[in-house]
Amino acid sequence: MKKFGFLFTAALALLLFVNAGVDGPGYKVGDTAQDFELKNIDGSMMSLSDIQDAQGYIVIFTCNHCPYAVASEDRIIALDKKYKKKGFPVVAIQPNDTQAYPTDSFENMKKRAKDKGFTFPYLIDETQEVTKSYGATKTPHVYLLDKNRKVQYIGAIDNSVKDPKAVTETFLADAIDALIAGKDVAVKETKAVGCSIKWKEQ
Amino acid sequence: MKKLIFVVWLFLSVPALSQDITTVKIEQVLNEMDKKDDTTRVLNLWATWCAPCVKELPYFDAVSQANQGKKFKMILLAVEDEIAKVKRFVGLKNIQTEVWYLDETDANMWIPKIDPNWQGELPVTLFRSAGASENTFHSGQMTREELENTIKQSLN
Repeated sequence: MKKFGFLFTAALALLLFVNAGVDGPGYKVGDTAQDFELKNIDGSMMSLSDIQDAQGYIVIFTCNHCPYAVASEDRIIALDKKYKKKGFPVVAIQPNDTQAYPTDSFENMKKRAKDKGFTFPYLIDETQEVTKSYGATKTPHVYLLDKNRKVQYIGAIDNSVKDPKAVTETFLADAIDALIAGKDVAVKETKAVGCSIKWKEQ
Repeated sequence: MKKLIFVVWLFLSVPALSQDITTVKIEQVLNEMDKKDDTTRVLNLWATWCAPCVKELPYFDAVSQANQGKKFKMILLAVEDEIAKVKRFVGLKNIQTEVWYLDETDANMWIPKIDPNWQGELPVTLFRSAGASENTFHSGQMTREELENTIKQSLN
């Protein structure tokens, strides 16, 4: 039995090691996020620094195939409409391996954005490097940055991903409102269920 | 006619043969994993709407059944789902491994209790070897080989 336990632990340690590349630490609240250059659905390359007069950035890792991401689309559009004019635009990034999930392909991203009337850039992270540097693990996964790209909030849009009618806490909107008011963000990190990001075969 | 009735009866009785799903709160899940006995436990968190979860579940079930009779227990914990959908899926796929249904809505409360570093992505799988005090955590879909090898090596 002891041997069983030891081997089990050893096997698990190996498993954990193998996955270390994927489960990297990523950004914590207070870290400064690096700018990036990713391809937008209009074909242009885009960086955060391209956005004029931004007071901050709502970076959301999202995709086409995940039902929880799809359930969030209307809320993401509403957030962009409300906060872009206050200097906090949404920047959406599709992080998944499109070979494994063709629903998330660049062509399908364009189509989805058009069908839903996305008001924000929808970028593809083909190398998954940006996603890894952020430490995003799921869709939807939100990182709120201030104008210096300092991470001010990580987590969920609100407390009811599946059912917008059951929302009682608007975590992300509260955090943005705090930044606009020049206040400290009260709830800096929240957890919600989402779809795991589909990593490319190493 | 008799034959037809028999066929209809057989068809209708299939769902009745599928397992009863246990509805649990988060504390019951934590207590199960914290049991200090000689059983090694695997806890898989999944949902019917999660594509990779649904892909890996049949071979999780097969691997679990292959390890029957050993001091080994696998629990398939459905989260953020509807019990009717879970029941239908479990019946359809004829899942034999114990399926639990997590009856919690405040994800921001229960997710950190499973693992403080877990962001909420599905699927995830937790391993607790017999006598250990902590879980080992695996994020995302596992291949059948990954799962089998982990368990096979541990049973040598």
